[in-house]
Amino acid sequence: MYKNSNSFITLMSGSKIFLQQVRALLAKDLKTEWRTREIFTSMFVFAVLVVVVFNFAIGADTELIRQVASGVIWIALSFASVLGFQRTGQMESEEDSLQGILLALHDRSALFIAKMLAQMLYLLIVVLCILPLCGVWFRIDFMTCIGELCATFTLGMLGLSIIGTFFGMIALRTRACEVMLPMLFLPVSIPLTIAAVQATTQLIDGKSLRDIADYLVLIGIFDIVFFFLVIIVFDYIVEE
Amino acid sequence: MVHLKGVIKHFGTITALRGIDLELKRGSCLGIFGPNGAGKTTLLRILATLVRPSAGTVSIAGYDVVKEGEKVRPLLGVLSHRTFLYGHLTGYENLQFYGRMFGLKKLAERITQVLQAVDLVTYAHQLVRTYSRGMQQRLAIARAILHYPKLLLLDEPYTGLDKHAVSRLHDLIVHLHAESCTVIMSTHDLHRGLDACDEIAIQCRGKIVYRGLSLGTNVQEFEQLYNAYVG
Repeated sequence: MYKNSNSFITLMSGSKIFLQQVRALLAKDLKTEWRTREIFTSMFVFAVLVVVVFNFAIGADTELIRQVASGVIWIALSFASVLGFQRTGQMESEEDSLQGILLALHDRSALFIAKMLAQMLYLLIVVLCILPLCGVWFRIDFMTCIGELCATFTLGMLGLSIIGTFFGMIALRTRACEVMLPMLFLPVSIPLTIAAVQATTQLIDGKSLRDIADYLVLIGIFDIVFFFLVIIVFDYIVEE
Repeated sequence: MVHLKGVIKHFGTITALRGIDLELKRGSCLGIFGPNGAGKTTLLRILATLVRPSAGTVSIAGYDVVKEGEKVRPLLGVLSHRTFLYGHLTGYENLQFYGRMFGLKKLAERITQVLQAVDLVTYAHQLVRTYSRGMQQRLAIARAILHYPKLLLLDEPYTGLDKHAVSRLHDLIVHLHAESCTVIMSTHDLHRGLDACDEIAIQCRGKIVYRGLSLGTNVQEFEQLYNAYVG
């Protein structure tokens, strides 16, 4: 009994420190980003450029645009997120502050959670900014299915953030970080991107949430599997 | 306080540490001297839980650094060549961030204390990227001692410091030493190392080849001894 209550207290105090550290890391990242706006600006500009280029490439064929619009949006988001993950990693390697964080962490997965949440937030803001622009350029009314789109994008962005943060940390330890990250991240994100593109295309075509349930379940499983996988191995990733 | 037995570290085909045995009592101040590539930084990084040893055991305050890293880390203060600071945050915000990470109570009071100790109160609300290198190093000292560490690991602490910062750091080491904080310092500066530490060790090619007391050892004698071991 004594042993059980003791380990319960340890667990509770551990989780309190964990949450406190996640909050401190997240606040630090957001404060730095608010001052520099480096990550958001690069992600947003790049995403817009991708959409613009595809818009010119596709031409004025309305039917074709409706078919490929969701693919263009998700490709833009995937590529833009690579820039975000790279910049986040660089921020921690300047003055070796990653080592400072590792020295303060109770549980190192707090770093992963905080970075993942920050990335997800940046991506969601980018989505909020580019969706209206895509609506205008592609002549699609996203407002008719905005609730369903929110669910799809939130699940998709979560998945991208999980694997992006994970591979970002791995790439940070390599010499060719800029090449390594997209090489690791983009192939692994393919199942997630395919499911997200299919779900978004069907929502644009007027299908309901029930019709895309299979895709959402697939994205959900992807998120859960990679989340727990990363939590298990993260300690080894950040160690030299 | 610190106990190392048969510690070996390989990095691929390179062996950085070849069986380090070291015991250090609470409140001691050990200066580790050695040439570049002797493995001093690797030894300190193992103690700091940043690198796992390939073989051997390392414990700090009775906790195994590999299995109980989360219990060891709050006991450590680390000062390295790099400052671990964020340029886009102010000095105060940097300390606030690290203070929150360690869950410090009465944080504002403690930040003021350590900023006073390194003479940076006036610059507390300026962005760190506007600081000079010496000021950044002084802030790094404040960061290292912020959470009342029981073991201070100093890796070449005098590198890049101006005269003012060197004397501040020296005073701080003496002060922390008086408060029973254990200090392990790696340095090339024989004079300052001998002055600050009560125990000395020479590390060469991944092994500790000499260990003794600094009391009564003058710099010339130690230099001869150092040259005899290191070559």
